Amino acid sequence: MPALFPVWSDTALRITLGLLGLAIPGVFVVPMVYVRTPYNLNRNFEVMQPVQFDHRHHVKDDGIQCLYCHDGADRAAYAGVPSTQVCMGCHSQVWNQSPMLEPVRRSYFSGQPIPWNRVHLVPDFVFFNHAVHVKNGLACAQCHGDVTAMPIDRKERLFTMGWCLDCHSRQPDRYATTPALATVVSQKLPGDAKTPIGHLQPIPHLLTCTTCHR
Amino acid sequence: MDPRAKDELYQIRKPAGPGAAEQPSAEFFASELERPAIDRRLFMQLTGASLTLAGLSGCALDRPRKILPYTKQPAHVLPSEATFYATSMVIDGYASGLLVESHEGRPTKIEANLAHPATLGGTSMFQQAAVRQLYDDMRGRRPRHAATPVSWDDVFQRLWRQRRDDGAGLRILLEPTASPLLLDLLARVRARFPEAQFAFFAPLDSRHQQEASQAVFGRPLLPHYDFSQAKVILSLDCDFLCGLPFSVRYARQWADRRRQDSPADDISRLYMVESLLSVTGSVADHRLRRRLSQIPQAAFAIAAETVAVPSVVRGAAGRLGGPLGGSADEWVKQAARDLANRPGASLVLAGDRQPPAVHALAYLMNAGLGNLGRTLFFTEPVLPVAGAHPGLIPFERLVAEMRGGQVDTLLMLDTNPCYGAPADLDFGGALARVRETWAFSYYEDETANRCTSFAPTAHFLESWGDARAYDGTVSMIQPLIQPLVGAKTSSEILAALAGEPTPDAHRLLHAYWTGPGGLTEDGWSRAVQDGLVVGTAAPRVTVDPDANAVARLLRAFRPAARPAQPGIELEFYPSPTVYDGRFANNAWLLEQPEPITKLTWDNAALMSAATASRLGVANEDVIELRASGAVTHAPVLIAPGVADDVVAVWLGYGRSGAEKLAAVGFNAYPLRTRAAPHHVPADAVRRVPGNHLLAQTQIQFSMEDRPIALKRTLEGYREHPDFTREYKGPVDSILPEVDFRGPQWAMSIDLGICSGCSACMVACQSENNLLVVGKDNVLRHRQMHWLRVDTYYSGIPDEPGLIHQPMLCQHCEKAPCEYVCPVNATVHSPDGLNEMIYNRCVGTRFCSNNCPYKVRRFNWFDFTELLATNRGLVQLHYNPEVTVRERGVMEKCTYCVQRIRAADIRSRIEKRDIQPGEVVTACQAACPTGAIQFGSLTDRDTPMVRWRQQDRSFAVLHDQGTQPRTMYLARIENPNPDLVGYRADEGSG
Repeated sequence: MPALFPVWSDTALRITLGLLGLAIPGVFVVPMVYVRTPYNLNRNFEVMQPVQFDHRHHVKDDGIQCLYCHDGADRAAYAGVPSTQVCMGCHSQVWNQSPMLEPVRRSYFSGQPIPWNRVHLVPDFVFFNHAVHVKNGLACAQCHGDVTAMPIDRKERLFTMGWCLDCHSRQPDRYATTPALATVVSQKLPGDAKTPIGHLQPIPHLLTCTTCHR
Repeated sequence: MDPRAKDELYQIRKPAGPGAAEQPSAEFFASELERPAIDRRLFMQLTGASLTLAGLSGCALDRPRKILPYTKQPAHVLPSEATFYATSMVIDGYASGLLVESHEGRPTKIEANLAHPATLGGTSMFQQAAVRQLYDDMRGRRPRHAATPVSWDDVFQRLWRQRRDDGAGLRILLEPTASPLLLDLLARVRARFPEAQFAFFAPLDSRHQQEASQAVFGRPLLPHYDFSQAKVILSLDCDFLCGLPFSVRYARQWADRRRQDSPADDISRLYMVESLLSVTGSVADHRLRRRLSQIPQAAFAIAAETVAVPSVVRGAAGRLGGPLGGSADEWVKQAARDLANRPGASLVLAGDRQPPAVHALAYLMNAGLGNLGRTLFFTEPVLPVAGAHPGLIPFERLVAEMRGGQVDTLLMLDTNPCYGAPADLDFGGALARVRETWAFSYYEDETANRCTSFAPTAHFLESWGDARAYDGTVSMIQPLIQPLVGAKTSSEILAALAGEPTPDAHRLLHAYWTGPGGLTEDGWSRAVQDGLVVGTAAPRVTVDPDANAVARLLRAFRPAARPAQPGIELEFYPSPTVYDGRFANNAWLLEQPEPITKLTWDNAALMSAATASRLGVANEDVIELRASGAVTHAPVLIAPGVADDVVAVWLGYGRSGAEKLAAVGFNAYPLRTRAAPHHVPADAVRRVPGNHLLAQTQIQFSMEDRPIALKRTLEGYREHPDFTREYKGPVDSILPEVDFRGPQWAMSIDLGICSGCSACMVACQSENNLLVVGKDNVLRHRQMHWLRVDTYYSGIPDEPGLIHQPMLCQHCEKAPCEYVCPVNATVHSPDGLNEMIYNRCVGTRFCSNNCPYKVRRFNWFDFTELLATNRGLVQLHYNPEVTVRERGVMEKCTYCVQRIRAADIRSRIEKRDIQPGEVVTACQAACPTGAIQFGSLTDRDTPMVRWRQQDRSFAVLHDQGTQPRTMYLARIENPNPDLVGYRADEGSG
């Protein structure tokens, strides 16, 4: 009686079993890897805006400080996105015919806000306060990355809870600079070059849930 | 007394719930919860499908979210930071100063304006709920003539046009007002149309006080009280802690005289004569239960016993008073003696429902007792008086003129006479005789439905205006937001009539106040900023009551006859929650438990157990009430402390306007006539078939002898100052020690001065984005109030001893909820808070099950999705600092953690510690008596810490070892030791 299965069927079975053995954990592992990819997290993806606003140009070429436009950053919970009026403060004088700035002029004269696309998002159940961070010496770039080098804004850091706790639970002064320098954009980030400051301690108070969730 | 009655009243009532009995189909919420019956197979299919589809929620498209900044950022607006503005709320013509929190132009929360004489730091329930009223989707939307929508320009054009008759047929009806601007505009209207006249109408307006003052002093004067000086108070049916224009102020003054720091401190004593148990009656030391029609008799008897009263009056009073029978005679004698023992520091006051003779007698007794100028003083009236003010005619005369065809145009501003006018006036019939009728009101209410034209008026939070407080202080009204529905203010409407075709309220107000003899520009700015003009209170006038006039009043007094068959007296009271009906569409107030009976979403026929057994009715039976030719149906609610042979009803319910929520309950106004606006003998009271479920938030009113809310008499306290010793102090625990660091948040509540008024509950609702759940869910005990006021009765139901206990999360140091949570969604913070983390909660409800205080609330549904009343405009009121909780999440009092963290952030920015008194919780800020104190245990020199160190402090359910951070001070009662028949049970807790 001839063999029911050809000779290579053993090989096929072994390969199949091997693949199955990979596929079953793969069902779990692949999505877990996927959700962590920059692609899924929109990390370092440039977000297009209705007006091609260039932080690099405004900060580096013109020397405008962060607080000129984001004036809530050192005194309110929201840093604030500037009103069209702030844009027009300069652009009614300079580049006031530029076709790139047409949406700004349209917004100013129609009263309709410019619909900026959000780059950084904190979920609704997180109550983040800019002022207390800035006033205690956390530089803008610590969270937002070096926007002075970004022609188009992108998210450099992921705002995950673990990332927040990195600072809150461990060594806040590893990240903080002196408060007076926090919003000065030319400030070199502390990072490894640790500057002793002494006004921040890892206080358990800042770890409790209602610090952020209320 | 039937012994069963006590069981029925104080213990758990039958488990009511939809399905327990037939629900009337007209109920607003009846159909909202109905779900199709699900069989097993469908259940399995749905479960499987849900599980599969749940995976899809991870596939949401991640569209970039938008940021829409201002195009032109308004000055003083910093996004995310709240701003506060002073304004005033007017009820029945009298203003109270408020401070309103605004987030990016949305008013969200109301606080008291501390500089204003009406507040002294607290607010009432109505003021707290005003924000909800502003964001009401059912408010009137656009002007119309008949059914045709028109524009405001058209309305103003019609008002502005010239008349040929000098205004002989023009009449204006408005809510009583002392607003300088409105009175000036009315004068300008009359300058243009000299024959035009106006009248005031408020449903609960009583002229008894005015008439008494006219008779006794020869002119109408307004009485003012100073409770901070009063050591013995006799209130004749006057709910001064809740029912007067200056109640918030009076409550604080009363509390100041009532609060003890040590057992040696003297506290005031309160005698109350009333029929229906009121908030004031619930904290009285001695309460005499009398039908409204019998209260004058009790008043006369007390006057007859008061030696200080001139003999001519005492004689007349003695003849009318006569023996009251039973222990009441002793009560009267002792009350009179007690008053006489405190000359210059006692106070007798009479309520609006009492006839002029009782008011006059009260004035005379105060004069005899030397209280005039000390606890009682008078000013000229603040509101214009008909006859003394040009163009102001009495309401009755207006109705007569309407009926006589002398009126061709009637303007009604913010008043609803078709609903609230005495039934025998037949205002609706008179209105039909007027050719052109205008209703300017907030809702398209009963009156608007019968008028030829309607136009919406603005809420006070949208208006420029002015008003006077009860003491005459000019109070400014400034808007927090542009009118949401294109509504206009009364001043603009009157200005159009006065000849301004395009009026503007701000311009009118500014022009009036900076005009000749007015304020400077700086003064005007300061007045708007402060919310009042300093130094405009009416001066006190020195008076001397005319005893002969009082004697004449007494001789002319005809006591009410005992009601004929069936011997029942119907009594009408303003609703403690919706007032005269103007707040009846406010979902917060409808769901607000009435302070004494804890009834929500309804009014009821309130009666004593004896009356109920005589009528053969039980709770939730429907009875027919017949009086003055009218009839209405009402559900029965047996309530403690109501006088026998009385059926008491709250007015303000059963509305039939376009505001549909307000249709709950029954309308009692048709039973009310001019001759008998407060009480009337019933023609018939009988049971009719049917049953009406009543939703009470508390169903167990007895403490069952457990030590939950403690009280003692003053004598008992002085003998045993340490009577609460076993209810506080350290307890052994197997739980690990918590590492407490930083400020230690805690609360102290003085039960001795808590009047149970429940303003704190509405404040909490407003601050913490609490949702309304509807009557159906209240019946299932799913209400979401984080803070409730528990009321416990003791003693016999007719003369109950009461104690109110605000109950909120106790923030236990050894919290039973924390160690049962499987996901650590409720944990302890180093600064002593029991934290609830919504985004971590999975809704096992284990914590609620393990909480001995039952203060945790579960979101059984997405109540925003479930109930239309939680959607729409009202979502604008949300406090952006507090998460709006979703379905399946547990929630509870957080000690207003958003305010604590805000202070924390401020202090960290300014590199300092949190200052004592910097964090004020919403309930603490609202409390009229100041019974709630909050702060850190580390700030030792604050009232909060000093209070809990007093002898009488205790922890609720101390034996459970929970170590709560909220501590209470036992209530100390001050009964007259000489008064036999005092029956409040000593020390049962």
